[in-house]
Amino acid sequence: MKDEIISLFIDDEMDIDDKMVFVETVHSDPAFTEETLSLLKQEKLLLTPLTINRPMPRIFSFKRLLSFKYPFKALTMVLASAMIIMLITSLETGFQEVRHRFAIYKPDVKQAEFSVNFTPGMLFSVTFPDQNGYWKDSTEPYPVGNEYIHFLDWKISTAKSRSQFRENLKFSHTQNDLHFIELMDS
Amino acid sequence: MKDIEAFYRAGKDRLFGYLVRMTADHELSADMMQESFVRYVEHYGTRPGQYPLLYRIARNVVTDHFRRNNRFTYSDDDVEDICSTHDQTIESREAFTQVLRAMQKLKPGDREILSLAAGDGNLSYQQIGEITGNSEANIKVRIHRARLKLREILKNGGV
Repeated sequence: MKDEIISLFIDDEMDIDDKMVFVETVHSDPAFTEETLSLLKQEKLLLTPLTINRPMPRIFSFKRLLSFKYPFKALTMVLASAMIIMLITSLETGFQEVRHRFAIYKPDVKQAEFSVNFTPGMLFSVTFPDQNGYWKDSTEPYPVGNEYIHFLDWKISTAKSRSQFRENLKFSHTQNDLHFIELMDS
Repeated sequence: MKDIEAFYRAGKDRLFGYLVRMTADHELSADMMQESFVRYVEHYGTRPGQYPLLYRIARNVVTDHFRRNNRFTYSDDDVEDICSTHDQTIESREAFTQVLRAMQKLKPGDREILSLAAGDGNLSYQQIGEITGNSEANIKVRIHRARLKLREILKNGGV
């Protein structure tokens, strides 16, 4: 206890009783006094003031947020970025022009026209230009389940759209559906 | 934000001193000091600071570092580097170098408790107990024993 009171003295942790014991012991025990002085000298060295000239660090740093110390924050940010990119991409796809491409091989006719009646009484038509026997053109997509009609050499021909044989032809950022039209024998 | 800046200015040297005594590495201590303040703000916001909490965070920073690097002491060269960067007389510089070297020879627990107690006398035994997870009575005993061990190492020429 006597020895420990030296540390209480050094660290200013004494209550009034400790102080009385300390002073009495210093006066009565030269070895204790020597011990106290020795430890005080040691403490003085230990208390050598140290200074550092560093500015206050940036507390809210983006780099720190992405550091390995914060994997969940980083993961959340990466996922959020990915979702934003996916959203933007899907929006772009939504606005992307979609055209339907129609083709029919009829080298023996001089005129071909494809029409669709998507609302009763209304007829929209696309005229096929001649290309080595293949009559091709493209148009806006029509609603599904409408009546398709072909005119060949100015004669109406009942036609079916073989939608099951549609092929997606992707080029120049335009999605094209190739419709092979199969004429019914008439 | 001004509160935390004042807290930083008032506490950086003290915390740096604790970290230097713990690590005997100038640059590492400076980094750890800044890291401790950043972690403090992240955990407790920019309200006026509490030193025991700051020291507890700094203690964790030190522990994390030593655990990662799997060592608890530094070489004599590191100690020389610290002393050369501070404006002291040659005699006091040599004496402080000796004390720091001797500190590195102590067990980590003893070194820690002496480093905390040496922080300009601002941390009470009760606060040191809170930081290290010990009772005040236990701190009284341990501090004195650590001082005696340090003196013994210094008497033997730091060996």
